[in-house]
Amino acid sequence: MSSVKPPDLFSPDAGTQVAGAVVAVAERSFFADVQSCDRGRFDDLAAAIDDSWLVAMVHFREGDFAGALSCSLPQDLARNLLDAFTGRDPQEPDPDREALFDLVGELSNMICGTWLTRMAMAQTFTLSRPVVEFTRSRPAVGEDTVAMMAINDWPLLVSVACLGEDSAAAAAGF
Amino acid sequence: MRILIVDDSAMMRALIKRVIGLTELPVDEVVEAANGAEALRILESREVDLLLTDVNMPGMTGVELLREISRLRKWPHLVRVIISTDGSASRRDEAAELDVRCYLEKPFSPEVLRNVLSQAAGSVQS
Repeated sequence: MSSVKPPDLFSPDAGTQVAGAVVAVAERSFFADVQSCDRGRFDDLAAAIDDSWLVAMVHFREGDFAGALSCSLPQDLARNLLDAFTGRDPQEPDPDREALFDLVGELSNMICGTWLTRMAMAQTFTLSRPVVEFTRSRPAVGEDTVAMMAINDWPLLVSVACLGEDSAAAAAGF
Repeated sequence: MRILIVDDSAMMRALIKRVIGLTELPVDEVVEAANGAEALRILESREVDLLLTDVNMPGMTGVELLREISRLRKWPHLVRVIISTDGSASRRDEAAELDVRCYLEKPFSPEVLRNVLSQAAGSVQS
């Protein structure tokens, strides 16, 4: 059991820190233009997307404390980021699903790790292997939404949930 | 210089490999492993000068790999570098105890990785 009290990952500052983590990851590793956006802009960007979305979830744990961070983004943004990350020529045939899932998993892993490091430098969180799914449903903005972002004019939604002590052991990936 | 990249993300391995290719370092071979156990098998079977490893991986983590390398004492000249999203102070302290030469936090720019590689290459050659 950890001797250090878990940080308040759900404080008002958390959203700002998550947005900062997204900016750091998107700019440094994907050379992308990234901005926070309000609900209206996010809805506008999301409305322009067809029904192809990817959702990546990373569970994190430290002692008895566990939570999960998820990133929802359109498949087109995943392709765009993959091109920037690997140097792939967009004129080449589309990357396979496995490559896109790997890319989106790594993106969410980096966002989660960067955010946790900023929020709790003194603690060592264990991150699960990201679970990535394809969905035809547009992501819903809800109480667990902590950041709405525009990356290269595509939408990215980040949500964070506290899983609590009871469900910590059952958290996927541990 | 022979380099072993250990990361469960094929994308991340591809990126690191690409940056290595962009440097002017004297690289003879780049080998990849998806986890610590696979990396150990590679270390047992061929010469490696520089190890670049992630931390969170399924099977055997990067920290477990580094502990095993220290315990076995077979590769005293192997230069060890961690590349991880976990930049916490406690993880860095743990790495220092495992003879890790550099700790590179993800996300990183290619320039930063290039600098770390140059630094590590200097350690290999000296």
